[in-house]
Amino acid sequence: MRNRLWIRQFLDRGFQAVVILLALLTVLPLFLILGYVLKNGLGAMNWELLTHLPKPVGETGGGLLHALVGTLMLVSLALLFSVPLGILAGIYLAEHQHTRLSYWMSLCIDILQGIPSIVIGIIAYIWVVMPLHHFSALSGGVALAIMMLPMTVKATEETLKRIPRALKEAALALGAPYHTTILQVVLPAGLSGIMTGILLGVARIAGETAPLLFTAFGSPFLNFSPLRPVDALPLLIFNYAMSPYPDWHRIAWGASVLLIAMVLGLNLLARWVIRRWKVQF
Amino acid sequence: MEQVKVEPRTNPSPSFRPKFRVRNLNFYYGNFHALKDINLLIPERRVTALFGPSGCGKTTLLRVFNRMYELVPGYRITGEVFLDDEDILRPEVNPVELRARVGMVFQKPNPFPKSIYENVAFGLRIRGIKKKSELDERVERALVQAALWDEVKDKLFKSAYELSGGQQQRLCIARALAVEPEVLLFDEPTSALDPIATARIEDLIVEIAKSITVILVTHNMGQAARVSDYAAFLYMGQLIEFRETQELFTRPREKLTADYLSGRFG
Repeated sequence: MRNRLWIRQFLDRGFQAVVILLALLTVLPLFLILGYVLKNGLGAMNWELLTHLPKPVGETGGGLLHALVGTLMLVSLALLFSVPLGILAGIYLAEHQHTRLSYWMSLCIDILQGIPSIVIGIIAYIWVVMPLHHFSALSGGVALAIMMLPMTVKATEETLKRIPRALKEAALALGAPYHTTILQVVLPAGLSGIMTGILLGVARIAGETAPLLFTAFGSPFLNFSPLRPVDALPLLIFNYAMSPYPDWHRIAWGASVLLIAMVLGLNLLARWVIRRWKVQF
Repeated sequence: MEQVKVEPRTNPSPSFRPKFRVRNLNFYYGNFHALKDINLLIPERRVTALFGPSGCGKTTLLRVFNRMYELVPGYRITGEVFLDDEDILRPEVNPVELRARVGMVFQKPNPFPKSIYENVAFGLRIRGIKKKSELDERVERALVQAALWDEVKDKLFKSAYELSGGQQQRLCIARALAVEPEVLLFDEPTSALDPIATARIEDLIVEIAKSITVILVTHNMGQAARVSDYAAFLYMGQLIEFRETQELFTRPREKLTADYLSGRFG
């Protein structure tokens, strides 16, 4: 019997050790990637990278200010298109859970989420680039907005579904019209969840390359017009990494560090929003 | 379900002025006949208690008075409910305006996730009152009326969720009082509260009824006896008996009422 006890304890401990080891293994890739990117990219990080435009081919130095501005423009446009639409659709889905329309809407949104990003890029090309006859930040924003839309809708829907009915009833019983109830009581109560979803959505689209290939296209110039092509960090990494120039490779590494820092920052911000604004019912 | 055959006694002492007059009210959820031919007069500036076992229709009846039943689709309603001289069931009556006159306090305290001040000010703001001095004055008056002012006057801008359950319920009462309703509906307002908080709410209801008509749903008979002037006993969707509380509790005329009061069922 004593013998058996010893074996059992050994198996228990062994199993626990394996679980911990495998758990650690899952986070290993993240640290390897971070380590590798930082090793190659930190050397490229300097003030010039952030504040200067690219130099002509052959000259060393220069920066990626144009891509930074482009990414900000693309993300802002994507937010502008997807947030109002996504929140309204999310409100509909949360308020009408068992209608035929909400069933089909949910299904469509799930499918939309699964559509490859390159296909969304082509769609934005056909819808926006072809009618306007040139590549533009606008078309890139549309492509990214389509990518982000399902996340905004789902975040709004799931958050609002968890808000107690009693809150809505309280507002209606006070004589608040339906739209006031939704906009001034229900939506603010779910703000932290919706904001978190939007921030994670931005983190996701900020690194997208494929939808921008036929839309924002890329451009070495600083541009603030939404109707002209712009560069974006992931697009710049794609183009520079494939070039034969070592100095461009350096800038691509720098851009990678920047992009990862942005995504990480957005994730941390999302966590902070949850903690800070969370409403306990 | 078996039908209960009784003639409802719906004419208590003729000495009060009715605020609500319910005539031949029938209410259905799908195929379920939830309220059967209700005839009832609700006296003005008195507390009327609706009581009876679970599922008797008392909450459904309460939600007729401010048309809150409309939130759940699949209902059908027939009959007339007059508030003063207006039939509130007619489709032309705007429920938003009705609910401004007929306020409601719920079973569980349900303050908004806003500050104490903003909770009380909400109903005023949606009616377009913007002037800070007026808001301040009416928020204070409502909180005083709800016997909460002394406890919260130093933390008006703290979250309402920092208050205890009983305080939250008094805040909900203040929120309803702020818009100066003519009627206040209470749906088992103390079922989530401890005895001390319950006693305070009960005192408050008696106080409020000096100026406002109160309709109170409760399945606590002691509460009905303590706070109400008139009481209506409902059973399986029917109004069995409605009279002055004291009379109904001491000399019930219907056997069903007597059985329920003596704890033989329900």
